[in-house]
Amino acid sequence: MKRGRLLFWGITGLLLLLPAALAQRPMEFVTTNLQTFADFFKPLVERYQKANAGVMLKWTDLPQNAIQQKVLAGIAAGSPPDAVQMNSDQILELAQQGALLPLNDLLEAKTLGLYQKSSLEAFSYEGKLYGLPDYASTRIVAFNTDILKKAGLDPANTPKTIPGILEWAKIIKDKTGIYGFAPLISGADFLKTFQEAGLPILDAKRQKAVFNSPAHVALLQQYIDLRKKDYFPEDVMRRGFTAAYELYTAGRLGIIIIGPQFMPRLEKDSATVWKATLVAPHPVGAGQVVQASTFAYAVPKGVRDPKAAAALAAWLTNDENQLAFSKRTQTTFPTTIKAAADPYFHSGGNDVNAQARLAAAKTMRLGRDLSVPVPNSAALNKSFKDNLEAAIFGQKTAKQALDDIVKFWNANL
Amino acid sequence: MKPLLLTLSLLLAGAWAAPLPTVASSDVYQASAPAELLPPPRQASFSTGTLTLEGLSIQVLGNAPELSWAARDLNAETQTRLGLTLPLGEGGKTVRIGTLENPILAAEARAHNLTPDQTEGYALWVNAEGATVVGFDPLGAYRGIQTLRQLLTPTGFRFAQIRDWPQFPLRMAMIYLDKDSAAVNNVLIPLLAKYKFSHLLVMCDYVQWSSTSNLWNPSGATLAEAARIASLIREYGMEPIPLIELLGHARWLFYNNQNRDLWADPQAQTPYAYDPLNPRTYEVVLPILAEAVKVFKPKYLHIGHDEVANVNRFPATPEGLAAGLPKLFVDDTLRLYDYLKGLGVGTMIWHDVAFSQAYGDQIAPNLPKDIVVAYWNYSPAADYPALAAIHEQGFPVIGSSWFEAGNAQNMAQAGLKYGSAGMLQTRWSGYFGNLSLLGNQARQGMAYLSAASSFWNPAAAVPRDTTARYQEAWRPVRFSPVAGRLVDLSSLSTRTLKDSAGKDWIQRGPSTDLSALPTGVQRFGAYKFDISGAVMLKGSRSGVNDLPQRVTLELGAQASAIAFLQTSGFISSVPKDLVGSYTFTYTDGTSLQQFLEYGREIASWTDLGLSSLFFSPAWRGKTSDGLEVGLNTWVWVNPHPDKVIQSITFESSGGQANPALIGLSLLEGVPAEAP
Repeated sequence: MKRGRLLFWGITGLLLLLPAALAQRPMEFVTTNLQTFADFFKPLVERYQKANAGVMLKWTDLPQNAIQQKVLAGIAAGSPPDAVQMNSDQILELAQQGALLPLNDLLEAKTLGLYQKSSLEAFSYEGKLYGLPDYASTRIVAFNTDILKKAGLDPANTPKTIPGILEWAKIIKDKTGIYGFAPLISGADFLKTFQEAGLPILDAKRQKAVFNSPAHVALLQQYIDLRKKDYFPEDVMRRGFTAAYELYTAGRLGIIIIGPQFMPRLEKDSATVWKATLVAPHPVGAGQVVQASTFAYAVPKGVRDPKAAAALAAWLTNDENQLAFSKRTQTTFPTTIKAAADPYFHSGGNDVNAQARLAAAKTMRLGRDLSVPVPNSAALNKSFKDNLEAAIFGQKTAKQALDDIVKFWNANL
Repeated sequence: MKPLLLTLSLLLAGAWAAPLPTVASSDVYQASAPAELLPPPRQASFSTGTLTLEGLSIQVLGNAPELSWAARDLNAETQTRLGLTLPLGEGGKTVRIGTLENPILAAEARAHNLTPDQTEGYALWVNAEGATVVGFDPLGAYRGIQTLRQLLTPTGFRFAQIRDWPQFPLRMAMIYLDKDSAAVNNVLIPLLAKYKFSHLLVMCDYVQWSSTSNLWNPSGATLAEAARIASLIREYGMEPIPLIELLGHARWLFYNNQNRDLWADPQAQTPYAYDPLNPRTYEVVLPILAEAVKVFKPKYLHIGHDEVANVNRFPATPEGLAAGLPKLFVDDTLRLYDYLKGLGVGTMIWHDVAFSQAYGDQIAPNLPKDIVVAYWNYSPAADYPALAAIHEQGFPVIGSSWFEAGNAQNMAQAGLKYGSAGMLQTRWSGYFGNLSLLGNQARQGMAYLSAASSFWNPAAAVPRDTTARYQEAWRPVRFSPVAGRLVDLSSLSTRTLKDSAGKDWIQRGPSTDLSALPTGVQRFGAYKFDISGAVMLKGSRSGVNDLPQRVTLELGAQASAIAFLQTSGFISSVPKDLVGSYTFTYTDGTSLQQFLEYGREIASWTDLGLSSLFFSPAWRGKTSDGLEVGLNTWVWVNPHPDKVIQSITFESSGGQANPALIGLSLLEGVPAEAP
């Protein structure tokens, strides 16, 4: 009798708990460094939950350097997040480690057709797509007009090319003693500089590295010569963008290539420099492309329901959400065809922040994530970085450094 | 009937499988003394002959503790290498250890024209009558004994005459305190002493200070461990300098959601710098400094102060913005400097904010000139003129390097040129990363030794065997040979080493092959192999995807250990990637499988940046177009040496890094350094 009663209450209890358990079906997505936009993501989560009854969606935001570890640790523990936002280098690295699911198998072709082709290419490796493109941001050029004037340069007639900027950098340094320009050349970013200048990285079959031609050597040599003559600040060669921004903020740098999202921060950090700043679109070189850093959502291996996870990634990056996010940030751009064509991106105000967004929008049509998808990209990029630094810091000639990288790449491509 | 057939077929299979040909060798394994001294001495000459250890004793001439530490270290060496301890004694052949204070030793050093005349300098001579080490001071004698240790060969101490002294008085290496401190630092500290470091910078962020029990991280070191390490450092002839990261990199101060009110950037996602305008900051920080001084009794304390604005905004509050970064930095530094000065301790800082191109001219001139500035630059460069710029502003400066080849040596040379006070070899393996020195951060440990070489003698070339020496610290090497058999793998070769037509090796053509590898019987490091071709297995990359997935090597022999000369055709970027395995099948039908993890037991022939304590560098060379390539030896210890190994099945996982076996040698004993 007792057993029968227990069974009855047990079954009744289970039935009562079942809907509650279903309502608690958890999903999680992770973003990179977007805590500032909590006011965007919290309502986004609510909308998803409303549209997907039974799902409890969790949003986690992490610093960029913690994301890959989060994915790998999640896979190892058997509970990875469902959709993870990362940049193309991070996604390609994890894809090559077998940590991500190919999305071609999980989403319909018509869904993939909503995205710009060039954005999809940045997250494809060996014919498989590993990231659904989210937002992109391209860079602009900011000029400190006070410094330009000190150097006798006309802020109304700023250079439109990288060689022109380098020329102004020399004039500024020669005439004022202040550094004119601080290019970020000491890492794998120089692969992007090559592409923007119209110089290829791989041969047509993508089987051999070809970036040691005389034209590649000459371009690198130009930067090395300018560094040697102290036209570029040593701090930036060593500490990268952080040091460049620090110098610009302190009024110690005439020209900086920077993301438009930094303009509102500059306004807070140094109102004086912000007021003196004039912005312009990033110069377009012979490559007819400019670097557009793009983030995308990837689906880790081992998620509970791969199709549901991919659908979440598609929802997070749909036209409506991408457009809304760009309007919230005011400085980033969508990667879906429809959202990118929205008139919003061609309208704006007159202050530096709005001008920065408009300047970025002007080159966005040429924006591509110029990360190079190669096997073992982490090792190949490290070889590139080490050798390039050896050239910049006088350990090797430009030719020797590029030759050494090409040898290593070709043994491993 | 069926079981009988099975048994018969097994027996027949065993009978039919002809074992691979082998050749006996009395010294398949033979460790040798290092060919070069590290650091290279300033003046040294060598002659043929060795001072045997038979009847040799140690005579300590003086009462300074450094002299008895020297005797202790010398006996550790003879015990490890040859299983012998030298007794203390006076008569007969002796190793004499003393200083110039001893008139007899001083006179003899003069007679040999080797008189040391600088702090930590020493004279050393070894001949048939004995060995003598005479320090300019007791520390000099201690450093000299470290050289004598390296003169030990299988037959005794090499004859030599050496006069030596350090270039820099401060030769510092950075170590960490965490929960695994004892396991790593108990080996590391004697190793760093052996190669003549003078100071150790001890990362103390997560020490469990008694004044801040709310910040105790379970992975941090206890206060007792900090005190023990301070003593250990001194007993190995070095001085500790604690490093407590302050102002920036101060996450430890906010561990466990503590001190939320001290965040410099209240809007930040995670804390990073503290707010120097909040008086409570110093109520927390100063007692910690006082405790660190009490525990370490240091002459200097390093207070960090680097990368203050790298993570969050700094300054970020209206009050902070009104003051500006330079004033906040200067005021905070002066506050800590004054406090430490009151405790009789000097201050050390990183250079990058105080001397930045953005704010340096507003910060550095306002700092006391007796602050020691650690200039860091981790890129190998031909020159480091910033050392001169800091020195010219009147600050003592030390150059700080990291692990990339050429960084420490070039910076030491620049330091010499620009009058630097010393050098620091940093290590950045995580606050709780001590154990990573035995794993994926081993290369940072190996870099200690090349730095040691350049910090003592910047002009001399760095000996090339730093990897082997670092490995020896964890797995001491004995000089006794081990006999065994060299296996001829030629009948199983799937690829030749030379790829003249793009059809062999990894099918990338003659400029990307292993044709530089010498063939025949060769000794690479301590191991001999018979080299012909490669038993290369299948991988996912083009050019190697048509190779066999597995190959069985018939042995029919006993072995206590087996040395594998191996590599992979391509790199793997998958963490802990199991690229293949060896399955050892014994004649009794039992078997064992050993997996090969990329970066641990095996690495690609082009991936020379990888270092592991589990394999040893064997051969290094270049392809015809100059790409540096190499092979490593990995040793498997047989847990059943009494059983006959019928065969080894070599199998690939089929991923990016396809394994390739190039040499195989069976050992009758287990070499001391085998993992």
